[in-house]
Amino acid sequence: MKPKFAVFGCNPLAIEVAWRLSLAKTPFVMVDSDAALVEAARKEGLVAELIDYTDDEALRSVGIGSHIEGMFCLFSEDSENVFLAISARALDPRLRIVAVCQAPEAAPKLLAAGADKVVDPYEISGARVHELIERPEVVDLLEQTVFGQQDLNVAEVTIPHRSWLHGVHLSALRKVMTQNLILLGVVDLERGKELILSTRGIDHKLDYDDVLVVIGARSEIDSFRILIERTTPPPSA
Amino acid sequence: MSLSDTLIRFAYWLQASARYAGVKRFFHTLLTDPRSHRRVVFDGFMIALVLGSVFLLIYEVQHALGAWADGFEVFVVTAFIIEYLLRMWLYNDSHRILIEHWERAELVGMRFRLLPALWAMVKRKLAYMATPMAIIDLLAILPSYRPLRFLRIFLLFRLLKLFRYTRNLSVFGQVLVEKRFELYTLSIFVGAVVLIATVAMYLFEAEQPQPRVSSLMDALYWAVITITTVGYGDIVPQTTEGRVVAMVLVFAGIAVISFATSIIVMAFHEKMRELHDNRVFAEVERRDDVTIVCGYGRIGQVVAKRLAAGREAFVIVDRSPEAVELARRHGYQAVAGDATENALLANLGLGRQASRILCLTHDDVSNVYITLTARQVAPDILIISRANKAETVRKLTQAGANHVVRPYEVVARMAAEFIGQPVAFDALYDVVTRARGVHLEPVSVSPGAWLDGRCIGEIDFAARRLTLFGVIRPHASPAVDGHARYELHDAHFYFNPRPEFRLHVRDILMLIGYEASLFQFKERVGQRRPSRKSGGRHG
Repeated sequence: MKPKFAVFGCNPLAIEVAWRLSLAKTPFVMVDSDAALVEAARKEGLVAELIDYTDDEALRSVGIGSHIEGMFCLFSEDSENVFLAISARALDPRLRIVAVCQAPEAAPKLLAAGADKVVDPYEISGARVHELIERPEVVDLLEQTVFGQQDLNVAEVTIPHRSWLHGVHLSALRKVMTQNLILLGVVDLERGKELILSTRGIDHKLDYDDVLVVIGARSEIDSFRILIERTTPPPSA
Repeated sequence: MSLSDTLIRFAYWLQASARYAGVKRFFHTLLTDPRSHRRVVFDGFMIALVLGSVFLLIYEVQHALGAWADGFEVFVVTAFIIEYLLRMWLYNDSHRILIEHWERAELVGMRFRLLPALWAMVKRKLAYMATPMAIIDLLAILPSYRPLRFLRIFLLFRLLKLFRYTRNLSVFGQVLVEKRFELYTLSIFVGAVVLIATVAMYLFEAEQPQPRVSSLMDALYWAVITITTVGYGDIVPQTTEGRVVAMVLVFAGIAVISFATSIIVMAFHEKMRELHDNRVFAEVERRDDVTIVCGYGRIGQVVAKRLAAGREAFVIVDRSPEAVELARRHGYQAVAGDATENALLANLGLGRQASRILCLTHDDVSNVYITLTARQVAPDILIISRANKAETVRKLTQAGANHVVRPYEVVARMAAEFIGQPVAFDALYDVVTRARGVHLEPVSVSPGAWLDGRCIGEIDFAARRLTLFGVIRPHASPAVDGHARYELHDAHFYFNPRPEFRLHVRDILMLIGYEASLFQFKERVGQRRPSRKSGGRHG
């Protein structure tokens, strides 16, 4: 099976990401241009390749532009990540790129270079420390349920073309939902990335390609997906 | 019953009396406690008295004042005398000395002798009276004795008394005391030079037909005026020899001035850090619920920024002076120092005002050490530590950290989640970080509150524009079946419970909604601020 994800960098952070991906049973490939780091990753039991990321041919050989759907730019230098993001974006406009930044100034540069998401490790860790002080209940709860190993997940369900939901109001969808799910809200990608909370006063009219954000057990989410993919409204509606 | 028996009884009575201790504590906060608010008010009052009395005394030199001025002066002096006596009383506990002597005598089976004990008490009080500040206090009382005009000079001591009431001024005194060796050396040098110049000047100049310098006093006056580089020019040397002395003295003067300046500047420079730290300590002392942030790296900066935005009290500790400098430039309270020092942690009020410590240095060894130290100093504070390596997590927990944050793990989780479902993850992340006004907030059910005993179905969350994420119920309360249930450390989490779910005291509702809706709801159920305690401490 060809890997869908590529992890660039073999530093401790990249190894951490790799473990995460292995836990989720997601096939991935790890690459770095530093032989020592590659060797270290191999010692950890990970599959790592030594390539020169500045060479587009090498990137293609990894699978960028073909079977790779998402990549992580985890080099410890912001400049390396920017270069990598630019090269990868040029090869594949649909590729999902996540990059880390060291300096906060690098975040907009990475976004400009084509990254979809920039993660600032310090910002996030700091935020988490603050959350732990402010609202330990919330952190604990999410830590052990949604982010933990228990079967409570946050999932996005895109409304497919030909779905019966086109033109239906959010409140109508809520009425026919039998699953034990929380419909957190909907993101209308045409209008922006902001989440429209389902409890907000405005009753959003659903549209093709809107993304519904739900929380619940995996089986419930799967059954919800089936409900969404119907071309005709369910009998009770 | 002898006198000594009576005195000892009295001493024991004082020792046992809560009232006596209370009164003494009251005056302690009023007069000497550097961190009390009352003292600030009292100091202000005393400064006003000093300035008022000095002004009147000066004004009186050339103007006639009525009887009220005398009345005021009597009042001021009375206040000074009472203050002097109070300070002497506060200086130490005399009855303890008496008890100590008596107990020691009892212990070794010797006869208790009153006189040495009394002498020990008096000696302690005399020791107080000999301190510079006490002397100034005493001298400040004197100028009111009108018949002796000379005593007017003691008016100046009233001004010196101001040192007592303003901390910054007293630092100046401290600096002088600390540099006494250098200043002593300097004054010996100055004294010697002035003496030589005086004598030489007198020898050369006084023999002249019409001498400008006719006495040794003239010569001394000239020498002092010259060496301090003031040089009025009212007395000038006329002989060549005298002029040579003057030239040498001028150079000596420059040396003296620059030496003195450098000593004092250096001393202040050294003192500056301590001064700043003391101010931070005093500031911390006044606040409640302070967070100590150890390490002002990137993570420390983010946390500090967030704490500042939440108007929470916090203080930063970092070993590197540059980091502390940066923190101060950002407008935060910061101290340079090693957070593993018990004294520093105590100064920052760990376990008293400081209820949390965050170990965020980039060095795992330091974090473990700080965690351990802090846990020993204060067994029930909240400690959050940063671990860079996975192996450190266990060590930190063992050392006593309540929570461990591992930056790599947090980032890896985020990155991995994001790549799977970017939209959902962004949405959830916004909710968790409250980035877009949508919050996930805990609302606890307190006894007798509106929520207590109510069914979920009775609460119309939709009308309140809220989504119930679930209910956290501590293990202590009975569990219910028939709802999606998840296991937490010390509680169950009921996800999206059915309408018939009945709420109990100590349940925590997790609600998602816009800030305003949440605020309204909390007001409705009679609780504005989320409880910070529950769920925060375990392990």
